[in-house]
Amino acid sequence: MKSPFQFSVAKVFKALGMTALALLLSMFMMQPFAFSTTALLSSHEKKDFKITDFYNIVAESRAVRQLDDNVVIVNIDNADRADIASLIDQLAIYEPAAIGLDVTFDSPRDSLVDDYLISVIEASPRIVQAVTVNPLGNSVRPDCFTVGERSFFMDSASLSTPGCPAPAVGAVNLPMKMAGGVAREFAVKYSTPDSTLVIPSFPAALAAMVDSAAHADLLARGNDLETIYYPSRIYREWDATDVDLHADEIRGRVVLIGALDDLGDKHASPLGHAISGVEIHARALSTILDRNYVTATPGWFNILAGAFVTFLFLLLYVTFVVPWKAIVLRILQVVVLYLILVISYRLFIGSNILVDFSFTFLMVTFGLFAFDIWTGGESLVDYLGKKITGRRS
Amino acid sequence: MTNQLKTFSRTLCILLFMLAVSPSMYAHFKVFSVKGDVMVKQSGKTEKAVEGADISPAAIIIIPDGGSVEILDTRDSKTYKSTTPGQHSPSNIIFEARKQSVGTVSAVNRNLKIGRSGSSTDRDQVVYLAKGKVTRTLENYDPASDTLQIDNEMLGRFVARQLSRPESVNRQQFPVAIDSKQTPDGVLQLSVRNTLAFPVYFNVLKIDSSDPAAPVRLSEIGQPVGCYVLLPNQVTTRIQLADIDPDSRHFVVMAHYYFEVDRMLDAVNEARDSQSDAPLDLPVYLHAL
Repeated sequence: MKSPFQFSVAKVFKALGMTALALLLSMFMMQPFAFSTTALLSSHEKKDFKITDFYNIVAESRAVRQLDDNVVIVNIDNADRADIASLIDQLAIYEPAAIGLDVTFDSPRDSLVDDYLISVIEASPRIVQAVTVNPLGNSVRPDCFTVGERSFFMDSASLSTPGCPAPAVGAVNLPMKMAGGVAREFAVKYSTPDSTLVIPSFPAALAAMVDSAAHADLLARGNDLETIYYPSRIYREWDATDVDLHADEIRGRVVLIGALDDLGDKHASPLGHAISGVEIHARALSTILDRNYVTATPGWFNILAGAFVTFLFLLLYVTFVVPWKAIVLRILQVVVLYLILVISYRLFIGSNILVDFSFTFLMVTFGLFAFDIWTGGESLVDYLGKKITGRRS
Repeated sequence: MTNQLKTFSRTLCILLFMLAVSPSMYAHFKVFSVKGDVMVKQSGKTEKAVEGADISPAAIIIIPDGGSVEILDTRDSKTYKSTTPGQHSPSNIIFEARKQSVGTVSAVNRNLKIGRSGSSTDRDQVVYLAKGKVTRTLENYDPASDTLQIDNEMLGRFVARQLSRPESVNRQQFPVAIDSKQTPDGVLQLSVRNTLAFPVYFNVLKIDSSDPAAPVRLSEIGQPVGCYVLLPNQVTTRIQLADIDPDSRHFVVMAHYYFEVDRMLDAVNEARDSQSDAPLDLPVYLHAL
C-alpha cells in the first residue's frame, strides 16, 4: 500500500519557506490584533488584551481558592478622615504585622481631626503610606521618577534628603501599557534623580517591613517589573466599622486599608473584571511573600515556538498526499490550536510559566493561508515561465 | 483492684474517645460565602447557611437551583465552591471542587466561547447598552467601551430609589471634584472638575414639589439634551444668576457612560412610586447641591 506521506528535501525547504511566509503574515496581522481569537477567549472587547490573560480567567474559575493568610483588607469606602484615624488607632492594639495605607490626604481639613490622624500615623511604627510617582520624562533619565501625590503632612524634604528620617512610603502606581489598561504587573522600585533615594513600590515596601527574606528574594530577581499572580486568591475583607469583630484575625497579618468600591480606583485586571487598587496591591504583596513569581518566556522563544509548530504543521501538509488531506489538516489545525491553549494553561497553573502563544496561534492560523499563497505563487511563476518560453520559441 | 483499674481505664478511654470525636473538635469547616437560599442540616436542625458559621463534617448542605456555597477549611485556608443543586456533605463538596480544579481540559472548555455569544441577557440585568441597540450585560467595569450608553430606564429607576433615601445622596463619596453654591436671591452655581482618568457624564436635576405629576425635572443649569461630558482634567462651570427657586433642591447625577436626560427623567418620575425593581447598586453617583 502506498504511504500517504511523501518526504523529500525539496518539500522540507518548501515547508520552511511557507513557515517564513506565515511568520511575515503574522507579524503584519499582530499589530491591530483585532481578530477572532480575542472574541474566542475574552468575555468583552478590550484594547489591552493579551492571550496570557486567558490563563488567569480560566484559573480564576476553579472551584478551589486560597484564603490568604498573610494579608487582610479593611474597606474605607464609607469612612471619613476621623474614621480612618480611629481605625489606625484601633489596629495598633490588634498587633498587625504592618499596615498599608492606600490613601493619601491631599490637603488639611479639620485641624482637630487632622492632628489626630497625624498623631496615630506617627505613633504606628509599622505603617507604610501611599505616594504616587511621576516619570521625569526626559530623554537623559527616562526611568527616573519624582514623588507626585502624597499626604499633605508628609514632609517632602524627608522623602528626598539622604539620612533624614523618612516615613515608610510605597508608590501605589500601577504599571500599564496605556491609560485604562490592564494591571498585570507591579514595579519593584522607582529610581529618582538622587541616586541614593529609591522609592519602593507599595507592595515591596510592605514586604520589606514584614519579611526581609522575601524582600531580598524579590530584589535578587533583578527585575524592574514582576507579574502579579492573580488567580484563585481571596482575602479577608471587612468594613472599617467591623474590624473590632476580627481582632484575632488581624494579629500577625498585614492590614491593607483602602477603598474597595471607589470608581476612581477600579482597574482592569487579567481576571476579566475590574478590581480595586487595594486588591491589586494585596495580590502583588502575596506574590512577593509567597514567592509565587511568574516567569514569562522571552519574546524570541515565543516566536521560535510558533515557527517550530507551524513548520511541523506545514511539513505535514506538503508531505501528506491523499485526496482528503485538506479536511484532515483543517481539523488538525483546530486541534493544534486547542492543544496549544491547554498546554500553555497547564504550564501556567502547574509551573507559573507564562508562555505567550499569540504568535503560535497566528502562525498556525496563517499557515494554510501561507501554503495557498506559496502554491499559488508557484503556479503563477510556472505559468509566466511557460508564456515567456513559449513566445521565445 | 486490678479489675477496677482496668474498668476505670476503659471508661476513661471511652470518654476521651467520645470527646475526641465530638463535632466541636472537628469544627474546621466554615461557611465562607453563600448565594441563594442554601440550607445546612446538622445536629437535627435545618437552618439557613450563614457566612462564618461552623459546619460539622456530618452536616448536609442543601443547595437550591441557582445557588452556590463556598466552604472554608480552616486547616489549610482553602475554600471549596459548589454550584450543583442538591444535598451534599462538606467532604463531597471538597472532593468535587478538587476534581474540577485539577481538570485542565474541562477548565479550558468552560471558558472557551466557540459558538456561544454569552449567556442570555436578562432585561433586568441590562445596565449599559450600545447606542441604538442592546448588545450585552455589562457585568464588568469597562471604561474603554466608548460606544456604550447607559440604559436610561435602569438609570431612572435607580435614581428614583436613591432620591427616596436622602442619606444616600452623599457628598463624601462623589468621585470627582465638585463645588456648588445656591443663594437665597436665586443664584445657583456649579463647578465640576474631572479628576478621573476617563470621561464622566453628568446632568443636573431638581426636585420641583410644585408639580406633583413630575416632581423631578431638569435643573436650570442642566443640559437639556443628553448630558454633559467632561474629559479627564476638564472643568466646567454653570451659573444661573437669577430665578432659582430657593426652595428647590438641585442635584447632580453622574455616570461613566452617556445617558439621555429626558428619557431618564421619564423613568425617574414613573419609578418614584414603584421602586421594588430598582437596582440596588450601580456605579452612578448623586450629589446634592
